[in-house]
Amino acid sequence: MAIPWGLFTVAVYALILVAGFVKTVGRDYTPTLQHYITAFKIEQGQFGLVFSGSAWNSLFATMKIAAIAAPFTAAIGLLTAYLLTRQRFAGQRAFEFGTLLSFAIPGTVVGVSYILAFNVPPIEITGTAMILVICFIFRNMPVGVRAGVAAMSQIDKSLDEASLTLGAGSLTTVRRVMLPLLRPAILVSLVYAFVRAMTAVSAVIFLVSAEYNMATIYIVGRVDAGEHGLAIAYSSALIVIMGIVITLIGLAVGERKLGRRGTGGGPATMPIPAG
Amino acid sequence: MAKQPASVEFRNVTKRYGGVVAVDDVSFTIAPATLVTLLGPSGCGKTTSLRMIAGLETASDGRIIIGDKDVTNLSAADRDVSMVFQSYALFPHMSVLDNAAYGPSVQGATKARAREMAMDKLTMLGLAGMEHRFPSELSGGQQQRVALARALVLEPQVLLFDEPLSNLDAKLRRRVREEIRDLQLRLNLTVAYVTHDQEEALAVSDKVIVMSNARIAQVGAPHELYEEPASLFVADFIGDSNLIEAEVVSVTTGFAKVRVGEAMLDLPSSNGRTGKATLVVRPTAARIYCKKPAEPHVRGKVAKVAYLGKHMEYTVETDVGEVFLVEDVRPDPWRKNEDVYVAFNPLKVKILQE
Repeated sequence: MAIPWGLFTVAVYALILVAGFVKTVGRDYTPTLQHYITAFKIEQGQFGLVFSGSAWNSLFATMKIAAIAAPFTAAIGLLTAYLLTRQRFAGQRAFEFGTLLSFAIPGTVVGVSYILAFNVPPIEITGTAMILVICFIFRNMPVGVRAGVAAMSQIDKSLDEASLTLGAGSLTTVRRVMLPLLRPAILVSLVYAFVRAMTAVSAVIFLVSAEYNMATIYIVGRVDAGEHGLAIAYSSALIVIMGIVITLIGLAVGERKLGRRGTGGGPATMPIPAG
Repeated sequence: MAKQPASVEFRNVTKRYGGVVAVDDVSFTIAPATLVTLLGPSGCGKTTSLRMIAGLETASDGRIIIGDKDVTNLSAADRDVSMVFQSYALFPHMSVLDNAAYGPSVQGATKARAREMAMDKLTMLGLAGMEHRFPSELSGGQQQRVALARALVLEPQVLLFDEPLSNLDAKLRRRVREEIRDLQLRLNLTVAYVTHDQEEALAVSDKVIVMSNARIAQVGAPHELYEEPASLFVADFIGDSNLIEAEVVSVTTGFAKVRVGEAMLDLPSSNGRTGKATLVVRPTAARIYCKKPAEPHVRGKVAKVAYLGKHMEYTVETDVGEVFLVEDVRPDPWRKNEDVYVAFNPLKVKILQE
C-alpha cells in the first residue's frame, strides 16, 4: 500500500517539475529553460547584479512578508496558548473560540473586511506590506495556538511551580523551563506560519498592491494570461525554496535537542543504589 | 547548616475556590526542626494547605507566618521554602546537575558556585556519578533523590513534601520514608509532609495533623492519635479499629460502666456521661477464647481467618457486630465457624461520645 502511494506522490511532484521545463505542457514537450529565464533572469548590470526576471519582485515581497509574519504569528499564538492553558480568567472559552474563528471564515471575506476596515482613517494601511503581515498573523495564529496548547498541556504545571519555589520569577521560568520545552511547538508554528504566508491566495488576493504583490497572486495572474509554463516554473521554485526554509528553521530552532523529552517521571521499577 | 530551621504557623487560614471552601479556618503551628504530617483522605484540604505554605496558593483569609515573618502575601519565589513534588517535577531538558543547580543559578549565583552547591547535595544523596544524566535516564527512586537534592540546595527554612512516596513501589516506600526522616533529623530541618497513608504518617512524624472536610480533625503525636482518637473519623482513619455501639450505664470518678451486648465493662474514662457511646476497640484490644473467660465478653462465631506470616487476622461475628482481631500465630489457630468468646481488655478500649 505504501509503495504505490509513494509513487503517486512522487509522480505528482515530478509532473510539476517537468512541466516547468517544457514549452507548453500537454501540447509541445520540447525541453526549454525559457520559463525559468523569463521568471528568474539575473543580469550583470552597470551597478552589479540586476534581478530582471519578472518573478523576482513578487518573490522578494512574499519572502519578506512571510519572514516578518512568521515569528509574530508563532509568538502571538504561543502567548495565547499560554493564557489558555496556564491562566484562569472569565470568558476564557469565548476567548478560545475567538482565536479559532479566523480559521472558519473564508479567506476572501477576511481580505475584503481588511480592506473595508483599514481603507479609512484612523488606520489607513490598505496597499502596504503592513496589512499583509497583519492579515497573515491573525489568519494563521490558530495553528500556533493549537500547537502551543498541545505542547503546554503536556508540560506538567508542577514544572512551573517547582521553578517558582526555587526562587525563579515568572519570566525566568518561561525562559529557562517553558521555552526550551516548547521548541517543537515553536518550530511547528514558525514553519506553518511561513508556509501559509507563502502560499495563501484567498485572503490576500484583494490586499496585494503593485508594490507588494504576492507570489501566489502573480502565479494566478500568469495562469489567467495563459502563461502556464511560467506559472509552473514559479511554483516549482516556491516548492524548492520552502523545502530549504523549513530545513533552515529546523536547524535554527534546534530540532536535534528534541529527543531529550519524553519518559521522565515514570514509576520506579529499578532499585536505587545504596548511598 | 548555616540557616536556622523556621517554624510555620497558620492563623485562621481559609482558602475558597469560588463557592467551594477547600481549607476552612485552619490554625496550627509546626515547631522548628520537626517533621509534621498533614494527613487525610483526598479532598480534605491537606495539599491545598501545603501549597499555601509554599506560596503556590494564596490564602483567602487568615495569616501564614514562617519564622517570625508574615509571608501571607509573598509569592512562592520570595519565600524561603522548597518543595518536593509528587511527580518530582524535574526539568526534563536539564541534566541532573543542572536540575540541582537551578535554584542557586536563578538566584544569581555564578555557574561554578551553583554547580558546586548542587554537587555537594547530590553527593550527600548518593547521586555522585549521575550528574550528567538526564531525568528520563533515572529510576523513580533516583529521580526523587534528584528532586530532594534540588530542594535542599538552597538550604530552605522549610522543606515541603507532597505525597513523596506515591510513585514508588511498596518495598521502596519504607526505605525512602526512613531516609527522609533520617535526613530531616540529621540536617535539623522543618518539614511539612502531605500523605493520605496513615501508616506512613505514623512512621515518620513528630506530629500529625489529621484533616477532614477542609478542617482539622485532630492534632497530636502518632501514639496520641492511635491511642486517644478524639473522634470516630480519626479512630476509623488512623489504624484499624472496631467501632462498637455501646451504652454508658453509670459514671464514677475516672471510670465508666459500659454495656456492650451482654458484657459489662469498667473502662477508664475522665469525662464520660451516661447514654449512647461508641467503643473504639483496636484489633489487639480483644482476645478470642474457646471457653467462657472470666473477663467481660461477648459470644461469637469465627467468620474469617487469614494467615499473614507474622500474625493471624480473624473476623468474629458477634452479638454486637463483626469484630476484627489480630493474634499471634499459633500451632492450632481458630478455625472458621468455630463458636468462641471475645473478651475485651478494658485498659485498651476507648469510649467515644459525640
